[in-house]
Amino acid sequence: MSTLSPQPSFATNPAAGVDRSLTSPWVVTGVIVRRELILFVRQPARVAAAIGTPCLLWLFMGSGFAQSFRPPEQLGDASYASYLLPGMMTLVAVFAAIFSSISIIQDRQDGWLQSVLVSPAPRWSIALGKTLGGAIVAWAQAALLLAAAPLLDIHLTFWAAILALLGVAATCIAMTAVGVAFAWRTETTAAFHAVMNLVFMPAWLLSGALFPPQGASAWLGLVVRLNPLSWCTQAIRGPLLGEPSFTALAGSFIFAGAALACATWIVSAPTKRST
Amino acid sequence: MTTTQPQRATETATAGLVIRGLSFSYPGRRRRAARQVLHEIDLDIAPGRTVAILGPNGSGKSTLIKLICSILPPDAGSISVFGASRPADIRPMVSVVFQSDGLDPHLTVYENLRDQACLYGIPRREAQSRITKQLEEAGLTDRRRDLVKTLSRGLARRVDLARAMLHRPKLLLLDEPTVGLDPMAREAFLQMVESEQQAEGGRIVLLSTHLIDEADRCDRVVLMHQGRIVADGPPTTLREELGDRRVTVLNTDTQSAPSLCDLAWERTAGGWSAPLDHDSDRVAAVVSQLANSGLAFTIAPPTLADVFEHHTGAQLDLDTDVIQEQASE
Repeated sequence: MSTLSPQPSFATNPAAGVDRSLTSPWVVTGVIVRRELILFVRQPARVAAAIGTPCLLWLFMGSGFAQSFRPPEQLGDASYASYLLPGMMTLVAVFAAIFSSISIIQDRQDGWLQSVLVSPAPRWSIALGKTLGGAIVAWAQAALLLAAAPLLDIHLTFWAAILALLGVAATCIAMTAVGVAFAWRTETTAAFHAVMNLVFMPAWLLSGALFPPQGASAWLGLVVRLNPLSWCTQAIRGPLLGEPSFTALAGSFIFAGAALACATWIVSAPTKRST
Repeated sequence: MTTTQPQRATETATAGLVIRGLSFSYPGRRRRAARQVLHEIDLDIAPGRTVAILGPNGSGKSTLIKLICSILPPDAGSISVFGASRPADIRPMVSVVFQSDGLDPHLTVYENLRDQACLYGIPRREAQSRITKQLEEAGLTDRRRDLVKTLSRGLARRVDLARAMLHRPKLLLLDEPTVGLDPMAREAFLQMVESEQQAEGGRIVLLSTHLIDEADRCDRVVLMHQGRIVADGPPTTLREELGDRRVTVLNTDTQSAPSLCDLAWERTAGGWSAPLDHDSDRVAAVVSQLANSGLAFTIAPPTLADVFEHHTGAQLDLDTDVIQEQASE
């Protein structure tokens, strides 16, 4: 490294470096989304865990324990298994969001995140890429469960399927964005598991995914109605049971937008904590 | 131990790296006060220079690197890189090789470099050409399709350097890049840095290290201790200040060394140290006196460790526990 007599070419030729304008935030987002998809395909355990758990829950609870539940009258002729299917799709979104968010902590420990943060890419594009990448992976997994609809005598029309998949998309974006926001400020996977148990699972349990809120006590019913994840679950369930709710769908997308804005703000905020 | 004012290299940093009054502290936790890690750092580096920041763990080297690459915001002071002072303008010109690889272990070597090219907006065709060239220079062409996690630590470091060089940075920051490498891999990495620097002379390379031999290979060495620059200059100049040779008496708490020989003794963390001139009779007398006293001593040309000890009174190979960088924890 020593005894060189270099010509200061950068000083005399500024164009030798990189023009900031060449870095497109959207390309950066695309790169991170592509990376998330590649990593998902190369980690089959994530696929197995994300799909296997809800399928098992659905089989056990929807079939094995179906006689243990007495659905409220509002469900009409729908079976408990058909009621449970949208809840399981929500659960897939929650699990996928958790896996995707944990990867941020791993990225930080591996050093990959630092190399992205020192690049000219604006941080919002990094947050957007992580969220959309995780959401696409989650959406694909949740959408797979829709294939079980015919087995449950759910007569799914084309538009009902589209509306349900839109609901799934909003749910996946919202939950992944919430996960990204928490994971960005969480230093260890152990700490994130605590967040998961305190935030994600209660939110899912109180979303009407497992139990119809109609039979709940007044205060619990209020909590369920105020829980944004309830809107997501309803946005998926409505079309499947022949009662699409555009209000719930709009609420789900508002929730997704707010969560994404929150994640972007947290990722972009300057911090004195070392990344 | 001397110096209240650090020695400064007389280098004019024309549009290179200019740091003025840079201070930084990590916020306190659980009612603990904030810990100041850097104290009003001033540093000028001209284009084309290879500069080592030498100091023990906890001296503030890594934090300084993170401030320069704008991962951390400074409390006070300014940083200018080739005339740019806003982080958004600095980042395209800077590249960093951290202690841990900035690579995704689940992607291939090629995929990592391709993504890096996208992050810096390098057009696809140009990116392909540069990736091919970088892999050839790193001797990794035949490993381009291998997952990074299958590479040895030494090879992964070379890929990381290739990644960092892909957008041809004007300022290359190396934060203890050879930690954990065996001697051969370390040498291969440093030679790769040297050859990259020879190929593009206007680049500034800033290497943080606690290894003397790495610092000795650089044009200039900045010695850091407890968040302050204590000495700054070419390694030969810094060593020459301590004389041609130096006698060091090891690990003695007594006043015996100064009482035995009439030299300009300095108390150091390891014992006593003093410069020794070329007078062979004088050297022989000192050797005789010390040998007869039964003290363990060495006579050798001064090293950068001696320079550090001279300026700080602390040993270079010991961690500075006073300041713990949260970054590395």
